[in-house]
Amino acid sequence: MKRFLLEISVILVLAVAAGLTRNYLVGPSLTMFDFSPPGELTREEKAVQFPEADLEMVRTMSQTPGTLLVDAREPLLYELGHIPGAVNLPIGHFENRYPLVQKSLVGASWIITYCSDLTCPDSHRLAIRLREAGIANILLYRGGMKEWQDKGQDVSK
Amino acid sequence: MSANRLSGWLCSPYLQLLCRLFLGTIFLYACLDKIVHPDRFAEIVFQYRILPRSLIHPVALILPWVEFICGVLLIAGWWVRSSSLLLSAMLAVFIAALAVNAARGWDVACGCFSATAADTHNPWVLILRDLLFLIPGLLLLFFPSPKIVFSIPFPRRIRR
Repeated sequence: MKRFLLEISVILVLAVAAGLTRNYLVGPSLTMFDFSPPGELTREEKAVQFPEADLEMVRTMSQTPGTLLVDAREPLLYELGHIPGAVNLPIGHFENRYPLVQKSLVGASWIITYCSDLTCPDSHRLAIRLREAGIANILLYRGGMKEWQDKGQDVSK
Repeated sequence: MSANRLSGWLCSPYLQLLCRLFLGTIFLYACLDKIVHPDRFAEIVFQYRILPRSLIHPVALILPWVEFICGVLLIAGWWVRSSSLLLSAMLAVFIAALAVNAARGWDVACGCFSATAADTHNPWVLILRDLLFLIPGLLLLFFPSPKIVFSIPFPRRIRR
């Protein structure tokens, strides 16, 4: 029995050592106790904080000159319906699309990013990319298109 | 067939050799893709929705190596009972995990032989397959042969 346990312990120790060595010497290196499913925000992304805007703020600010709404969803979804006045800057095409809207973004005093709903990470990711590009005064509208439509607000197509 | 005769047949070194090679080869083959792509395997482990997130990466990194080491040990004929105990325990866990998802009605990627989502089958078929793999594992565990045939030479006191 003692020998049995010893052998099992040796196998497990070897497996842990091999797994850790492989992880740290050969990529991709995984963070040991932190798993983020594909699509979800990573811990590093979550650590980047932005002030949030609720529906009422978005409604008021969208009618105020100097505020620019940025839709982070894919172009097809944007074309099916978006918040009036919003420009489309999908996170998946950031590099290509950013130059097209850069002038408006730099000129705006407030930027509000949004995506589909509370669970989508794209508005947060887009806000991070915009901040990295030097854009300030970014607000997140977490309710997104779903809340906007559910509350009966105008939609542009 | 008398109980003694059945027991003698189950303890036959040649049947044991067959079980060792079968189980060892299966697990060696099963672990390779998971060792190469632990990130993809982690996603499959996550899809089972059984482990807390903090344990997904440790399991994805370590479990394939347990399969690898036990597979090598079985083929080499060393520490046969310990390896078969670990592999049988793992098979029992896989069966339980598959059964949980089958009961939920979820079709998740198996993660049995590859770390890609394409490895998706009917969970009940997978459970049946794992039960089949469990037979040689339990046989090696509970009916150890007094003699081991085709064992790679190793210091006698380490060999079982």
